[in-house]
Amino acid sequence: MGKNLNKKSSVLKILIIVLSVLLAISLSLLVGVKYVLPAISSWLGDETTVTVPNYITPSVDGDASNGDGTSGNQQLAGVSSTVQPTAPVLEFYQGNAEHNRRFEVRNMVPGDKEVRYYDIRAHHSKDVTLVFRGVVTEQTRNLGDVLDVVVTNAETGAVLCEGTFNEIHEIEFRTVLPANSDKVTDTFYKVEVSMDTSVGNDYQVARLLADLQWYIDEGSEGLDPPPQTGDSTQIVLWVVIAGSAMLLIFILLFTRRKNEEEEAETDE
Amino acid sequence: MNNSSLQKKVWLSIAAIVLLFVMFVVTTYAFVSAFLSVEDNLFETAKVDIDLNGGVAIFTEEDFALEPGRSNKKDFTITNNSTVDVYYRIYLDGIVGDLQDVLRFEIYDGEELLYAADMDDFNRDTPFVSDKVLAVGETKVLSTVVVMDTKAGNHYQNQSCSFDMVANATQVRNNPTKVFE
Repeated sequence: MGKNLNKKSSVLKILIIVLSVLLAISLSLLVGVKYVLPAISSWLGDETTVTVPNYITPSVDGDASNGDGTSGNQQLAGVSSTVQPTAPVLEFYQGNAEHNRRFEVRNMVPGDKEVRYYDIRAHHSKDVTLVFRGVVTEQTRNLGDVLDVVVTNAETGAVLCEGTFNEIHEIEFRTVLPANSDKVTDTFYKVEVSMDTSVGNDYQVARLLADLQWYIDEGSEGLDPPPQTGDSTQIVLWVVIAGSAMLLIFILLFTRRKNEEEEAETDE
Repeated sequence: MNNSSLQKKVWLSIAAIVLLFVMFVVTTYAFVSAFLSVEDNLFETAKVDIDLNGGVAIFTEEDFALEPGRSNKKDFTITNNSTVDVYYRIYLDGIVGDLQDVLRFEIYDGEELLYAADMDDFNRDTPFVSDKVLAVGETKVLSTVVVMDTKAGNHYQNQSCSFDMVANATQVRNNPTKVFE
């Protein structure tokens, strides 16, 4: 029996080592793709530029509209496309400091409109489907019934999604990003949130929290289930959990070795 | 090494393997998921709330011991307790009593006459609407003067009148025509 257990223990030890190596590789790739590559890309940012036609940065008040094609053009400091991972990767393109910021709107009154711009960069080597989804995570007084959301492609003006927050909640809006030789597609989204002037007093002192999500759906015909919503998808959280697990494993191995040494000493 | 100790180690190893496997799946999923999220976008609506004279009646019964041609002046406050700037309007509601036919109301900001109307006309349809914005937290002191018509006859002796003075507020932003709900 003792021999059997010893044998089992050895097999388990090997398994632990193999899994630890795999986890370390996965973790390294994750950190590399999510943090190191964008940093390198930013560092090499002088190599190319990306033009966003008909595109005006919103004012502080957030009220902005598309330009007329002459004055609205701006050039953003670009990102080199020389470093591209093979797996589809999404990142917020940090060409404009005013972009990619979350909404934080207080004291909204009927007639108010807030605008944010999001610059999404997808690294992909084949046709992929970019999915947008709005998820209401908290609301009072059913504010989501009267807060209108319009998501448009800031470059083409095509409307991707339109409705109230409660209407678009957890619905996927898809755009196909065709493969290209650069293996990079930049998509610029304008998200407008507004409240109609007809909204009454019932919605005073109401609050709504929502997540805006973009992800690549690689499944054909949209059959793949979307990622779960909420905090479970936060990349930082993943990294922290993975790091904690690694730490735990090292502690476990250390404790085990220490116990073995103690037992060896006792046996002697 | 005894069996129980070894068994304990085996269980510990199994636990470690399960944990490792879960973390491997999680990190791999995070790596390939290509997911972006802008979390916790916040939208909060404003509060529009106005206070008229702290809820205290502006006129009392004694204030209406009027004679034809006589008037009575009272100060009152209006405070913006909203979270945004507002316009306000004031009118009379629930008027009861015969005196309403011979009373006239005036509203002053200091010496400046802002509004004047017969009591019958000082209603929700033709209220006093402020021209100026009442800022967040601002308190305005106004005066109202009630005047009895000089032509009021003896018929109005010992008559009384009761009413509510009502104040409404509406947002300034996106409301150039001062629409009240």
